[in-house]
Amino acid sequence: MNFAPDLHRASARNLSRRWFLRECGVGLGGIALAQLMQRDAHAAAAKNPFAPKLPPQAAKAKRVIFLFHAGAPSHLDLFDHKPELTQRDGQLPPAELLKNYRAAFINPNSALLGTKFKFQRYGKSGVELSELLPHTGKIVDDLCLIRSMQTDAVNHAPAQIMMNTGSPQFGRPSLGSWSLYGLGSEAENLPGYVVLSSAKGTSGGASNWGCGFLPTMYAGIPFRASGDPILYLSNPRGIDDATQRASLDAITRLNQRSLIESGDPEVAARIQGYEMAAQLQQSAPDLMDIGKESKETLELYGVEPGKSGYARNCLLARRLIERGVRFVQLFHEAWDQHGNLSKDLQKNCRDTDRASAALVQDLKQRGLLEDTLVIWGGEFGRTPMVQGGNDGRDHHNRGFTMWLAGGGVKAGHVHGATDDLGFNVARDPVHVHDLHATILHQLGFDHTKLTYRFQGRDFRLTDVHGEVVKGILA
Amino acid sequence: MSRFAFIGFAALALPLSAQVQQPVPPVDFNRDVRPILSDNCFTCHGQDEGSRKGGLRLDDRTHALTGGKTGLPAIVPGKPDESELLLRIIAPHDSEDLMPTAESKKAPLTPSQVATLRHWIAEGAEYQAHWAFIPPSRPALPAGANDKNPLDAFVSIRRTAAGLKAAPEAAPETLARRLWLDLVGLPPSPRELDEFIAAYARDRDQAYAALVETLLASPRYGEKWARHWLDAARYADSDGYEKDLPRQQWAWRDWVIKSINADQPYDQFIIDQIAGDLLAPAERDPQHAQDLRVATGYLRNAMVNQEGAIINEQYRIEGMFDRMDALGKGVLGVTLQCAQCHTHKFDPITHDDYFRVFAALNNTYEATMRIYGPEKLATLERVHRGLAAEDAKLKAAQPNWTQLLSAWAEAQSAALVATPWATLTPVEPVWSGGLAHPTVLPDGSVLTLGTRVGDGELSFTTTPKFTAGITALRLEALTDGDLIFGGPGRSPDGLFGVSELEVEVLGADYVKPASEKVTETHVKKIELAQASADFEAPSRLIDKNVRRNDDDKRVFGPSAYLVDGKLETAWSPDRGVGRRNAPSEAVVRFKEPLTLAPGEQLRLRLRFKHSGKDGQGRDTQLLGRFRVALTPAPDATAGAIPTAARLALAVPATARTAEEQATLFAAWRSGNASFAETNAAIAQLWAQYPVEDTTVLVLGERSPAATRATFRLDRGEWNNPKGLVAAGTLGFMHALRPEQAEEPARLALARWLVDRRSPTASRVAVNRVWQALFGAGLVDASEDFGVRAPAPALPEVLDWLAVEFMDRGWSQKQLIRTLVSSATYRQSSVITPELQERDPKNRLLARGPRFRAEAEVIRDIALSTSGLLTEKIGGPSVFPPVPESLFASSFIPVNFWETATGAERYRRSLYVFRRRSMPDPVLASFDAPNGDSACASRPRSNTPLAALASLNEIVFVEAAQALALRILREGGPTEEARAAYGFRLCTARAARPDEIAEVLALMQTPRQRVAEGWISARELAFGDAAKLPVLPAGITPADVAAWTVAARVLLNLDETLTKS
Repeated sequence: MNFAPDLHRASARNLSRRWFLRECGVGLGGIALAQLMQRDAHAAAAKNPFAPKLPPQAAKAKRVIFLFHAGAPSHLDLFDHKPELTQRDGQLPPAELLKNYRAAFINPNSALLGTKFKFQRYGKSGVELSELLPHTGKIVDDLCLIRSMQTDAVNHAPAQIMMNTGSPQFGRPSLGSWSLYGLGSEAENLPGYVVLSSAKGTSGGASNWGCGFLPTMYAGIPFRASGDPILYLSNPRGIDDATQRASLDAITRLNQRSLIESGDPEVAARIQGYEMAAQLQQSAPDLMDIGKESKETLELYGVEPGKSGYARNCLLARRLIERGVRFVQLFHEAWDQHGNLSKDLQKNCRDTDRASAALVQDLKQRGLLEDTLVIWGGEFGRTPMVQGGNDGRDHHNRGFTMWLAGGGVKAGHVHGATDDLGFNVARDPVHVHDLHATILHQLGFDHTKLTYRFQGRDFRLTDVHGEVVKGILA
Repeated sequence: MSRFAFIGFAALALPLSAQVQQPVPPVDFNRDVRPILSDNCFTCHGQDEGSRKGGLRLDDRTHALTGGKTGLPAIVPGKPDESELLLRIIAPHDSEDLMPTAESKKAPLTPSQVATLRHWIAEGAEYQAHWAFIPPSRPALPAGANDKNPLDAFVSIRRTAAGLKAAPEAAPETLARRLWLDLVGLPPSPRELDEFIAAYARDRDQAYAALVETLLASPRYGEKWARHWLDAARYADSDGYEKDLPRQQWAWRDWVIKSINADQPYDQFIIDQIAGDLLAPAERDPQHAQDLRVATGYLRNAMVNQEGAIINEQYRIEGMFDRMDALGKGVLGVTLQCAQCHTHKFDPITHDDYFRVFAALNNTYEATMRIYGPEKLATLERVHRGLAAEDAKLKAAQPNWTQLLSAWAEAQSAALVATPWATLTPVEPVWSGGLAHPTVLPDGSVLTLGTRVGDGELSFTTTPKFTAGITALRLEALTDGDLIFGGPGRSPDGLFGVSELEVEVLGADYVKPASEKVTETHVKKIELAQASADFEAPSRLIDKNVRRNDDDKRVFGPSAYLVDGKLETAWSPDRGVGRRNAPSEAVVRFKEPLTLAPGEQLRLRLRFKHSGKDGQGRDTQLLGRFRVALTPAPDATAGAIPTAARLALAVPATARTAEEQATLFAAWRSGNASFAETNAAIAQLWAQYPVEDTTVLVLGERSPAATRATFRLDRGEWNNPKGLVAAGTLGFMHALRPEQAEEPARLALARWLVDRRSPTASRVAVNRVWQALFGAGLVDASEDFGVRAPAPALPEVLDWLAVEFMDRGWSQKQLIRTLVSSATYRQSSVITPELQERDPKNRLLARGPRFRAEAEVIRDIALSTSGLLTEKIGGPSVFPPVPESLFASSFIPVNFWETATGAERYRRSLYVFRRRSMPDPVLASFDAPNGDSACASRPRSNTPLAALASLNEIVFVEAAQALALRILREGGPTEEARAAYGFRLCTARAARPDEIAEVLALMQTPRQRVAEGWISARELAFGDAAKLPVLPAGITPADVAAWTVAARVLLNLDETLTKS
């Protein structure tokens, strides 16, 4: 959806035409009107930052779905099988590993903790995954696992901000904002960047999907799990559709008078803003209405009718990108297992595994996976060392796992590896900056050239870092 | 910038020269050359040695003429074809010589850029200092200037040169509304409009000037203009980061309102905020003394991380970076932040420069102070004067009191020597689970900052200096400037409750278990006998409001509770209001003297089981700073004198501060039975000491003994200190004045920032005011006047205003008076097609300002026109009604959101509670910043979310309902008159007949829907069918419903939302 001041897009053109037909008879000179219209068209052509844009390079992915598992899922219990760690359960870690190392809570010199879960090989690719992820196992041949992720921060809020904006300091634009800024949106009646949340609120808060110094319109728009999907979408009590339509028409007509009187193109933008609000009032409930999905689809995702949550959000993600939304981000903040690791992981996987897999499967069967990049991951990983008794892990930023699917990345592939204890990256490290560079590359950008000048400096998502991870490109 | 973005924003980014046809002048270094060099060359050939390639600098003429390592001059003035610079930029594209290099990912220079450089070198390659770094001087008035206001003359010259003409003066109702919205942020009432229009008809200028004066004198003025500074000062009502807990910071916000209303000179306004605590307050003016400290809350608006297990120092440094950034954006107008990790790539700020300014701010405590309203402040003053009078009386009655006091002090010192204490050196103190990370200070004390922890245990091991015959242990609870009110605890009062103290001996064979599941061996608990303290508070039950349940019987009280084996009891020496933030000590005797065998260690465990029910640590009872010592002396007991006095005695008599002397005097007096009468009078005075009204985060200067050294942090990493850096200022700007060198570094910095020799201070301030009035600054990026900032289109206007501002005593009211009185400001804002074509951004001001109002103003317009607005200055921020679903995005449960009802609900939007991680959805959709970092200029967006907010958000809906009733009550007998009245309330102008017809036609729909029974009139009109206010005679709920629909439309008109 175009949130910007212009009269360029289809809906606005219609609006202008309607206005033209209606207002021609009420005394506005034909020449003046023609001038006004031409001027607006001029302004619009130059000013519409939301029009879908072709990226400078050939793109493999047109859109992104980022499944953000906030709190930091344990790579060691889900994706990165370490028999050696199990063998050395209860022993202290080798001293040389702990040099200059800092966890968050624990004294790093704590016992190693092997996983309590079985791992097995899945699919033709034979990628090993934990028994907690049976559904992910079914799609593993479509996935590209990166087992060598690294990040800078070791506390939740800064690390989430790092993963989502490329900097542990608040105030930078998020990945979704950069994508929208670079590519515009194909969604006619929906925001171009939508955020869906389940479980609890995230550590990074609204800055996780903020637009930083980019214009406000590039911020992610949260769709809420309860009440209005978009805040203030519903009319006030007592106002029905007919009254609402009459009201909006009155606003439009009165504002059209202002446009003529003031000559200010901003008024045209205002008119359009209200028209788009009306469209949102139709399109957002339509989007949220999953009643029209087939029973098979609902079952595939594990969506229970009338129930919000991660599964429904995965389904909504597909429905959003079908409607041209550029960037969809899901947040599921539940993975901070300092204790109660076994039970909580079981629960979290029950809540998410099936739907994550269903999303990839569903996109694939609809032919959307090839140009949609799906990303799964959290802000960092967890320590091979125990926290507390024998059922918890601390924060760990030196090595963790994420997975990607579709959007031109290799399928059934594993990139990089950690050492035998899952502590350090042993092969092909991928820093958050590298991941960001790669995502932008798939969207058709040289990450060093997608910039925005703020305070005299050309800022970019990857700051002065980042290398495209060629090894994962199909 | 990538190609697509360039196209996308081309029209916005084009320099004025391309939009307005002007004759081509000779090459101007600042305007034409510097942008090319800085965009393409300075990254590798600028002042940053760290990234310099080939030893070549192009930012400096001497260096450029000398050349780099190749020995070839980069520039030969007058000879472009012999200049390496030019040869390199026109080298073949596949040549290795080509600049910028392929590696830099920069595109080759365009032919026109090459031509510019060629032209410039041919003309002699003269460099110019960057315009904004040359202090402004008063520009000469244009010849033959006959305008009343020099500003208009300067604008006129540029405008005329561009072939544009001034617009006529706007209509009086437009002018009135413009002034009202700009000066007080509220629209005029119909009566106020009538008065102005009548006066304007009699004498335009006089009426206009009178209105300006009225509005500048209104207390609403301070509220409107405080908001602009609050943006730049990143004000918020919460801490930020994960927990984002509420904070009390509104006392600082109220100080800003007060200062702006009082028109405090801008230079002093800034000095107070950076170093007010280091200034002497006016004599006998407790309000001023309090205000000077409150002002420093500016720098404390930084976010504070309370996430579990953080390293406090890491986030203190982040907070310091944020302070630097705020100073850069808000006061200096340079991008200081860019020199945080390395020398600035473009502006002449070295990495050391950055840390010199950093050092000037770094020697501080992150203090919290109590704030008293005027009444309590008066009480407080009375108490303090009473105490002083009692002391004076006593001294007069005991003329030899100094000798008596000295003798007493010597005797006390001698007695203390009898019990020798050896301070323990804690080894790696830990908080259970690692949720907090205590640190050991040089004096052996343990300080725990960062995450406020609830229940748990703080323990450490130690090998004492002496190991034979240990008889007792002393636990000192110590104050510290970083603790709330100085501590010693971290409870909301700065108190603590230690539930139990345990001492263990770890055997020589003891090995720390690798995990908690392994049971410890070789640990022996030592039996403790009895405890004494310098001060014993009576036992008291835990406060009702923090009890976890009705059966919560936990108590606080005397030192015996430390060792009674019960976790339900805690030692908490609370000396009462006014005196509780003092050090204390408890001495605990061992049942048997303890002798440690070789290899044995002691372990101390302070157990905390007295936090409340909050779960976020806000009711913690943690002891913030403590120290432990051992003695072999028999019969050791605590406290013949208060701990504070004992600590003062340890300072050599000649080195004692006034405060330490007073502490000793009080100890001597209160311990002396012959002064019973005085002591009783003093006790009575203390009993009158008031409880604070609120608190605020401020800066405190560290004591000389606790001076903090500043190091240059390599790459801006908090744990990567390199060289020691002394406090200072930016080397490329004006120097410190000699007398400032004697002052504390922070105060010197404050004065330097707003020194009248500063090239940017006044320009930045003036530009921000201009931006608020005209919609965009004279300099576009109000936070960046650096070399990359485009030169302003009206440089004389900026400089004239900047000098005028300083000459007129940095008075913001005078500045605003000058601006709004100008013909430039008073122009009609109608945009002709020609103007839109030639100057779409209104850079040359051939028309008046027209733009959507700020978030707060938009909401206040709805509150004001509907008559709902509650006009009350200051106080705690107000929780607006928000949809329940908003709370789902919060990391912690939002149990503090007490949605405002009644009059409080309709306070001005300035007072809406700002939670950083959960921005107010209404204000945010109209571009209000969330306060994560300083914001010197807001963007102005126009989104459907904003439309939905002003159409459907509950306060806007309530405003529409109230406006409907107001129209029916005040608008006259006919529907036409009412429509006209409503229109005028919202837009300040008379409605045209077709507009009235439009409003009346609209109301047919709700009337019909109501009549047909589709919708409920009462629900629509009053929000709730069960509610029915008293209606004017002859008015039905259906009328109110129809008018509510009309009012909602009127509140959403472009003209209502826009300042035109």
